[in-house]
This record gives sequence, C-alpha cells and structure tokens, in this order.
Amino acid sequence: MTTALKISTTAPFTDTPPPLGEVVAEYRIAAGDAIAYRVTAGQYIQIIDVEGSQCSDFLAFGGDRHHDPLDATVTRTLTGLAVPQAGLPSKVFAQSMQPLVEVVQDTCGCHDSFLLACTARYYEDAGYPGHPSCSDNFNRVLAPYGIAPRPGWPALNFFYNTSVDGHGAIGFEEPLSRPGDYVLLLAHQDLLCASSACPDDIDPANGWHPTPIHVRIYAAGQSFARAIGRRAAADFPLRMTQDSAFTPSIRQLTDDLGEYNGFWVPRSFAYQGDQAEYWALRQRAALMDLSALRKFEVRGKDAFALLQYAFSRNLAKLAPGQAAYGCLLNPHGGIVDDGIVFCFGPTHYRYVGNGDTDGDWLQKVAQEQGWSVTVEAVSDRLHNLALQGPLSRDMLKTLVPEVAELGYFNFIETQIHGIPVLISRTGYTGELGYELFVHPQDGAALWEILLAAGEPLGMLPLGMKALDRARIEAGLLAQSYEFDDLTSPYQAGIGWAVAMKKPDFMGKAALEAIRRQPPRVAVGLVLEGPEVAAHGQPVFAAGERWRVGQITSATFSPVLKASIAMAQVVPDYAEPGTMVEVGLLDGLKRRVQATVGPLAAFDPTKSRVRA
Amino acid sequence: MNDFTVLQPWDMAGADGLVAARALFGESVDRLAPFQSMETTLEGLPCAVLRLCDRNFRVTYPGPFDQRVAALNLNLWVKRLDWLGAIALPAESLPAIAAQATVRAPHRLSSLPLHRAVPAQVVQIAVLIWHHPLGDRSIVELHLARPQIEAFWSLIQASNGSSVSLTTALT
Repeated sequence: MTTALKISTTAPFTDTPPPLGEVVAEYRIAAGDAIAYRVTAGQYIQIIDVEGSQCSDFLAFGGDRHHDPLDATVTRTLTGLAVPQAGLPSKVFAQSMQPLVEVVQDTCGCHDSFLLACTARYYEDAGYPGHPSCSDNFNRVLAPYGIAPRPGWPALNFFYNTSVDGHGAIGFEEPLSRPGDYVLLLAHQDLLCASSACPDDIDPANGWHPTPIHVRIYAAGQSFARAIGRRAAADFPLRMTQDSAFTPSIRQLTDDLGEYNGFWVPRSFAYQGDQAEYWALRQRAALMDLSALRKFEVRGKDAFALLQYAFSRNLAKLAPGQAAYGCLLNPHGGIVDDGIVFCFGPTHYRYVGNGDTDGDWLQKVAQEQGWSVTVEAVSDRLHNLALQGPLSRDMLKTLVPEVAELGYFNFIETQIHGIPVLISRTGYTGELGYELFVHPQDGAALWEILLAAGEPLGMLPLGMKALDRARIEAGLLAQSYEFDDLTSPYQAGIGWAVAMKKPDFMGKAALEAIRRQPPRVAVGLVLEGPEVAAHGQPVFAAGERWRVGQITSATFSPVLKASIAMAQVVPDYAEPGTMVEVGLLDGLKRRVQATVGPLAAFDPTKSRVRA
Repeated sequence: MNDFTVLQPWDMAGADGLVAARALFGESVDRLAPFQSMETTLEGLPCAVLRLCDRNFRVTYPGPFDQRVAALNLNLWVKRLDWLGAIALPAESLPAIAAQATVRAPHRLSSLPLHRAVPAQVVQIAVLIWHHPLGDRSIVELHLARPQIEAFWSLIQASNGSSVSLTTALT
C-alpha cells in the first residue's frame, strides 16, 4: 500500500537524471507532501532532489511488523560519522543495531542526522500555527501501516544542510544539492519506508521554495558502484569516485578502502597493517597506488612560457627527461596546488598535481597572456604506482636495467615486459623511490609484475595510513593541511621551490613582500611523550597564554620513536631548538613541550631520496 | 557439559600503554598493528602479546604481569578483566569456527594467518578470534564475555557434530 500515486515506469520524466538500472517502481512526491512505500531486501532506493535545494526526510522500518525503526543515534555511533557515506562505513541502522539500508551513491554529501523531521511545533513557535510539517505528513502516510503517530519523527534528513558551530549551536542553511542530486540506498532487509518533500517555506531549509522529490526503486540483483559525487568547482561536472587500474587487484588484498581525491584507495592491507607497511617502506620496499594524482599535458610553442610563469620553479634549467617539484601560484602568492613538471621538450611538458581545476587554471593563465598552448587533462589515460624504499632500485632494475642510472628527478620512457611505462625517480615518502605511469589498460598486469618482483625482497603493498606517516616524517606537504590558496610557499615550507630570480612569474610581487616577513613559517616539532597532536591544535610560546602557531599534521614516528608534527609558527619561534608548547585536547587542559626542528624530522638532508 | 578450561589473560591500557609494552617486550612490539600479536618471554616465562589498539594490549602470561608493569611506574592500568574469559582450541578448529562466524569490514577471517586476531560474531555471540602459536603448536584462542562461554561452547560443538577437534580444549 502507498498513499502516493505510483507512477507508471513508462511515464517519462524529463526533469530527473536517467535511471541507473532496471526500475521497478517510481514515485513523484509533490512539494510539501510525503509518501510511504515498501521495498524488499536487495532493492535500491534512489531519492532525487529534482530541482535542487530541497530536503527529503527519510524513515525506514525493519522487522516483520515494522517494529524496528531507523535510529540516527545508533547509526552515528556505529559508523563514527555524522551521516553515513558511500564506501566504508555506509550503513544506516535500526534501533536493534541491524542495518536497514546502505548508502551506495551520494552526489550531494551534505545531509542531517541530528534533527527531527520538521514538526508542527517548529512552525507554531515561528508564528505559523497549522503549517504542514514532515512529521505530520509521515503520521498520515504511515497510519495505514499501523505505525503510531509521533509529534516529531527522528529521521535521516537528506539534503538538509545543518551544522554545529564552535559554541554548540545547531544551524541550518540552504541545501547544497543541485538539480538532479541524489542518494542511492541499498535495502538490507524488507522495509517500510517513508520519504518527504519537506514543506518548510519559512526559512532557507528548502531555499524558501519547496519543490518535488522523486523516488525510484531499482530491482534487486543489480550492481551499482559505490561512489561519492564531488564537484571540483562550481562550474565543474559532478565526478563520481572511481577505481584506478590497480584497484581491482588491491581489492583482493583488502576491504579497507576509502575515498581520496575521487578514487577508492587502500587505507591498509588485510593482515598486514600499516605498521608492517611502514617498515617495509623504510627498510625494504613498498608499492602504492597514487593514481589520484591529476595529470595534464601542456603542449604548444608557448608551453615553456606558460609553465615558467605559472609554476614556481625555473624550468629553463630543465632538460628533456628531467622533472621539478614546485607549485602553481595565484596572484597574491598563494599556492594553487603543488606538483611536478615533467619536461619532454620545450613545447611539451606534463604537470602532475592534485586538482582537477589545475588544467583549467593553466588554460586561463595562457589565455590571459595570449599564449599558444593546449592544456589537456590525461588523468584517465595515466594511472600511476609508486615503488619506494631503500631496495626499490635493486628491485626495479631487475625489470628495467637502465633504472640503475636514473638520477633524482629524472625520468625515462621504457617498457616492462612489453608494457609502456614512464618511470620517474620521484616520490612522496622520503625514501629512494620511483613512480611508474601506465595506461590503465596495462595497470593490473603492471601491478602483478611489480608485486611478484618485489616479493623476494619483502616488498609490501602500502596504504594511505602508512603513507601519511611517512610523508609527515619526511616533511612533505598535503593539500588542505599544509597549504591552500591563502598559504604562500614561504609559509608552507617550500620557499626553496620559488625561483625569485625569474624575471616575472605569477604572484612574484606579492611573494617578494611575503619572503621578507612571512606571517608564519613551517617547522617540524618533536613532542615530549607519546601523545600525538592533531591538525589545527595550537602551538604556544613556552609558559605563555598566547599562541605562536598551529599544528598542520602530526603522527608518531616509529623510526624516530617520537611524537612529531609539522607546524606553522611565527618567525620568531622558528629557530631550531626553540622550546614551545603544543595544546592538546582543547588546547588548555594539557600542554606538551615540543622542540622546534627541521620540517623533515626524518632524514632532513634528503640523503635517502638522493642515494 | 563443561570440559574446557577458561583462561584469564591480562589487559593493559593507558596513555603510556605503548611505552610500557616497549619497555617489557622490546621495540618489535611497536611493529604490530592492531589485532596483530607476537610471542616473547618475560622474566623467563612465555608470553603472547596481542595489540588491540595504539596503546591497548592483551597478554597471555602465566606470571604476575601486574607486578612487572607496576615496576615501570607508568601511566596505565593493568588487570585481569573479570568479565572476560578465554578458551584455547587447536588451530585445526579454526575453519569450523570461521564457517560460523561473521566479521565486519574491513576485517577478514578467511585464512586468518598466525599472529592475527579478528573481532567476530558467532550467531549472536561476540568473540575475539586469535590465531597464534603456543609453544610448538598453533592454537586459536577465543576471547568472550564469561557468561557466554558455555553457550558458545555448546554452539560450536553442536554445529561441528560434536567432533573431537573442537572439544579438545588446550589448557
């Protein structure tokens, strides 16, 4: 039974995204209304925000008598998330702690699990007695199923944009959902569900104008890839999380994958653990999937001019076959992104960075300068592995002998067992190592070849947990932690990568001023005791109440047997040996002494990567 | 019928949990990830150390482990949890137990290697399954809430057709 009109599946809807698979039922919820509907275990529920900025509160009841309702508190507790995400963990639980549904896809990523579906009381308190509410609508549509009414229903409120501020106040704003955004749920048991198109028109919760919600039910037995939809910029298309060429092989070895920069990446490998992976990296060799990097081909007669202007390093010093680490800059000297430029010749370079928008930025700079150059995104044609560790050269030269002579930040184009690869002597670990770029069609084969070649040397595949530990030890930057577009290279600790002697480049005037007196500079800290700091925690002058900086990244270093951190502090406190205090917890309850040192706590002279 | 012996492991945890573990068992203990274990000796007695979290460890040790820890004068607790018990079975019983068990991702139970543990559920009973050596044998050590040990024992015997392998508990 449903209280809403079930739409014929042949009825066309031109205002919704195309179906993802075989549809067995379809409902249009009019603005301000709600429906109840049944699904069976294995079916999928797609809840679509048709016009955007519209909340859809969701209830589900498990059990043979619908006696086991969705419980947001149970869900938050078991998942450790404010709202379940596609991937791991993704399940929505009932009061019995049994999973009801699982988030398979989500193109919005901003929902609420803390507040009730809107209630009559809310509107009464706001001066609107009698205003329709989601809770009352739910009571009406659930009554035929024997569900007792409630003044307010605790629900999972899709597209409802709520937040808790630093003072504990819960606020809400216009939803972030665009037209056609959706969540796709997999039913884990036979369920009675209810969905609303929230009637709230008295505040921004639905952008002041309630609109319809569309619900599709897909047949059981279909398979939909788990994915989170993200937009790199307002004018960029939605990008769903994807597998790299290596992910199918990696899934054989672990179920612990998380979303990183649009890809599913391993966090650690089953039965290995990040500790073993870390030590394999530091003592032998490790293999990791870094396909989430973005690659752009920069070609044309002005390719050099563009990158010489937009990138921080002096590329005049680069010969074909050489690469350089640096950053893309904006006019005020902020870091757009950090990355590596590969030189194939004066009219052909490759930029490898982190962001989908990097190519757009380069193209914009080229247009403004009137340069003849093309910037082509080739990330879908180049996936990459990193083979790192003190034995990486010994291992790789058994496959590619010329690797023995490959210098630091040099690269070659070669083959491994007939597979075309670009091998660069670069990395993100502070170890001797290489990165191997390959067409995705050859990715699985390359993974197997490298894994087999590394086994006699004790090489292990490595996940992001161990990688993060290693990169912090090595003082290597991570976007959103050490830098963003308001952070200069001098503050982030890569002032050495700015070629100030270049006649002109993006942000030069601003950086000349910043270099003389950067507001903060990057340092490494070694903390006393085993406790590990966290991003954003304050750094105080010793014995003082005032801050001199903040932590950007922190970890426990197994090789140094110490709690270490990267921090950005005012210049007066950046001298090596300076004692400062890190505020743990709330920054007040516990302070731990720390000693200022080089940004790279491990091998600060980079002797290992240059070996 | 109760034809098994309930073992009582030691647990230690606290801000200095890892500091204590390194002091007692050496640096190699810090190479364990959670749910990995190692065998060593402490004051001449055999000792199996299971890391449960960054600073939480469970230790099978026949001696006064609390006294060994107390001597370090560190910030942590050490005790035998009176609501927790352990039973040990031959490693050959692992496939039969695994067949009845479910684990939550990202944990895996298939072909559980030595020196590894995994939290699992056997029917409605929560159990930590730990595969590790005991002398020259390998065993599967099962940690459960004490009130559920009897029920669990009956469960695995029944589903195994009361075969000998599951009823030969190691003590």
